[in-house]
This record gives sequence, C-alpha cells and structure tokens, in this order.
Amino acid sequence: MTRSDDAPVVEIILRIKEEILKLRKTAGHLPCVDRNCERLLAGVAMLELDIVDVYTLLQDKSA
Amino acid sequence: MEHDRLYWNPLLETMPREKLRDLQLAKFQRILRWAWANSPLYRRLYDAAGLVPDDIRTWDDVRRIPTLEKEHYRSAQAKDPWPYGESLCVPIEEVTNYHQTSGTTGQPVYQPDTWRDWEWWTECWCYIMWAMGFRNTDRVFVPFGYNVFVAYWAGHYAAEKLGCEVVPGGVLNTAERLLKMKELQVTAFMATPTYVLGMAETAREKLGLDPRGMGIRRILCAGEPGASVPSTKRRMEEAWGADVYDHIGATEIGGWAYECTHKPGGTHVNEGMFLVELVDLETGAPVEEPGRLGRIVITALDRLAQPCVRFDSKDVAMWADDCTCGRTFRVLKGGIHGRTDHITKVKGVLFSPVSVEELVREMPELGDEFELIVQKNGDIDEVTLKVELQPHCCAREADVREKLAREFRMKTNLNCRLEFHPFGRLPRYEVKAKRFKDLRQDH
Repeated sequence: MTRSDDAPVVEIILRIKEEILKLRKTAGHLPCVDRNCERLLAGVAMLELDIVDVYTLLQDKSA
Repeated sequence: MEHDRLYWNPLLETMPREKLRDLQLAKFQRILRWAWANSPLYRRLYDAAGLVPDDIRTWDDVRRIPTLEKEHYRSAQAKDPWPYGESLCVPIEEVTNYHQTSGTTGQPVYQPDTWRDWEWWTECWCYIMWAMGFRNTDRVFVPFGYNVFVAYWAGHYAAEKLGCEVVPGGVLNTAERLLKMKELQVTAFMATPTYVLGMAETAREKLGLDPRGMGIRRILCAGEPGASVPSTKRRMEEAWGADVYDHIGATEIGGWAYECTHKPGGTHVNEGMFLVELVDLETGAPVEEPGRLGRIVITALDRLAQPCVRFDSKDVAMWADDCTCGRTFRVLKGGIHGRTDHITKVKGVLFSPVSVEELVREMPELGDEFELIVQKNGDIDEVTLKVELQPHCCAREADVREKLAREFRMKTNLNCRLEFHPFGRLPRYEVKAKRFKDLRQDH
C-alpha cells in the first residue's frame, strides 16, 4: 500500500466499523450478535491502529 | 509487492523517522489522556506532579511525566475493585483475560485485558513472528505449561492469526514434547533460551535424538536475554540447526521488540505500538546515541484496560545503528543487557551478570548451565561461579579452570571462586532461570 492508497482504505475500515456498530444496535439483544460484534470490533480496532491512526493522527498533526 | 511481504505492516515499519516520531507523540498524548481520565492511579500520580494531559505538547514535556514502577501497580491493586483496584480503566465486566507477572521481583502484578487488548497483544506478536519469518507453512509447537503467566499465550494466538498450524505442548514433560515434535514434524517452536538448550540436552542425553535432525527451521526466544547473547545464540543455533530469534516483552507492557531475519545483533523496537525511552543510569537524561547503556522507560501506546505509561522496566539496553532490513524502527543492540537491580557493585566494580553468561557459553568445554553467587566473606564481597564440565572434557579440568578464571578477570575486572560440578547437577529450568543470586544483606 502506498500513501495515495491510504484514504480509500481508511474509509473502508471506518465504514466496516460503522456497519458493525449498526448491526449491534439493531440485533445486539441477541447474545450471538452482541458477542460476535465485540470480537469483530476488536479486529477492526487493530486495523485502526495499523492503518487509520497513521492517516488521522498525522493529518491532525499537520492541520 | 515482494518488498511488502517482508513486513507485517510496511506502513508503520518503514515509516520515515520524523513521521514516526510525530505519530508516537500523538499516540502518547492520546493514551495519557485515557489513563488520566480513567485511572485513579494515574490521576493521583500526575496531580502530584502538577500535570494535566493538555500540558504535554513536546518531547521535553513527555520527559516531565513521572515514571511508573511495579510497586505503583501493586499498591493500586490493593484497593477496590478487586483484583485490579485503581489501575483499571474499564468497567470490570469488560475484562476478558487475566494474567499475571512471573513474580520474579516480588508479589505478581495482576494484568487485566479486554478482548480488544487481547487482540492487541496478538497483533503485537504478529509483528514479532512475521519479522522472524513465521508463515502459514509453519507447524509451530508451544512447549509451555499454559497458565496464569502470560508467556507464549499471545504467541499461540499470533501464530494462529498468521495461519500457522499451532500445536499446544501444555502439560507434557520435556521428553514427551520432543517426541510429539518429532512425530508431527514441527518446523518451529518458542521457548526461553534456557529451555531451548535444555530440550536439546534432553533429546541427546535421554532420547538419543539429534535435535539437528528434527527439521526445526526457526526458534522464537523470550523471557531471558540469551538469544541476543552471541555465544548463547550460537549454542542454540548449533544445537538445533535452526535460526534463533530474540523477542522482548513483559506482562504489564506487551510484546514490544523483535529480531528480524537480517539478525542485526539486536531487536527492533515496535515503535508503532510502543514508545521506548533510554535514560542515563544515574542522571536520568535521555540517551539517544548508539552504544551507551540506558535504563528503559516504556509506554504501551494502545493498551487500554490497564495502561502502561512511562513504565520504568528496570531493564538496561543500548541503541544500535540502523538495520539493513529496511525497517525504520530502531534496534536495541544485544537486546536486554541486564536489570538495574542485577547490575550491582562488587568490590566497588560495576558488575553485570549477563556478561558472565556470554563468557560461559563461549567455552565449548562447559555445559549450558551455570550459577553466579555474590556474597560477603567477612567484610569482603566474594563472587562464586558454578559451572559444569562437558562429560568428554573432564580430563582437562585444570586447563579449563585456568582459562575461565583468566577470562572472568578480563571480562569483569574481578576475581571469582570457581566450582566445577558434574554434568547435569546444576538446576535446570523450564521458564525463567534464576542463575544470579546476590546474598549480601547490606550492599
């Protein structure tokens, strides 16, 4: 991945997170949905640390 | 693309230093705000220093923040809610994993992790194992008694995440583990240097197996500095015919440094996830240049349930020159050089037990095990070094004794009393060896 690829990748990661949160809100009363969403969010959090932070924190810095 | 395959995350691992430092500062500010807002332990520590997170804008500001020691965790954990007390930053029902420190230096510290934190542990270990060449073609054996101590748990999960086939070697004894490794034709395993050498000895002496013929390609070491001690590393690589790699981590910190396949003679700090500061052993001033020893002050930049901010690890290390692998993460030359509470003055001379490990393991006439004891004889400090002679070298004891005494004196500027023990008589360890004993009461 190069720097020019960052923005779409970041968008995808954040969209996935949003979708999981939406799923949890919609069907989180079902334990199977709630706990699997928890695990999915932990995985997405790693993508945030690996990719999204690089983009957003450095952007904040240069702003 | 092949270039990218060298790194778990090229975005972080090859980031230009200036940007990396900016990222670290931003992440530091974020974790500081989190710890201050959610943990009475940190809030009290920083209140006492008259600091709030918004005060921290530059690297000089970072260095004004008080360091944290194990004792801070212990006293915070003596309070409610049990067992993590005032160091916990999340509702206790969000904690999914309990581990604890090994207790080497006293009462163990309890370590809570949420599922996200546990995923983070695993992710940190993915950086480690990927850099060492672990891939989905590996069958990885974990010869470790899985328990409350965190060691290798994250290695197990990271190996899974990389797509390796993981074989848990839990409650088996050493011989049973070796036989299972042979039966399954495993390609890699992870253990302390002490146990790597002990397993090779058991294979040869008890099972009549040559470890070199077992098909092991790589060995991940943790828990002790040995894999960065050149003579110990050489012994392990020769014993197994495999590449041996060092990794550094701790329960309350995370898995924070790793050796890559370029073997730079040390370990890369994962500077995307951790901030490592080296500070002068006496003045506390920053140590930035390669080749000078400093004490490690470390921050886990992304750990939430029980943050680790400017933790004084008591470990001693030095920066190295850059590695040829292309990572911009700095390298600690020779990994960990010892602990400030082990580096001690003997007869007024600064003495590091790790230097003795290097010396013993450089002599092929000696076995892998040794023991080092400092005690008072009257008013005088006395060092005793216990070693084992290899069975085929017994006739040469006098020569070996003379050589060892000479080398010890050259390496440490001290004389020592030597004790030669029959091969196999000194204690063997499975996890962390306790080879150094300072029995002086009032030094």
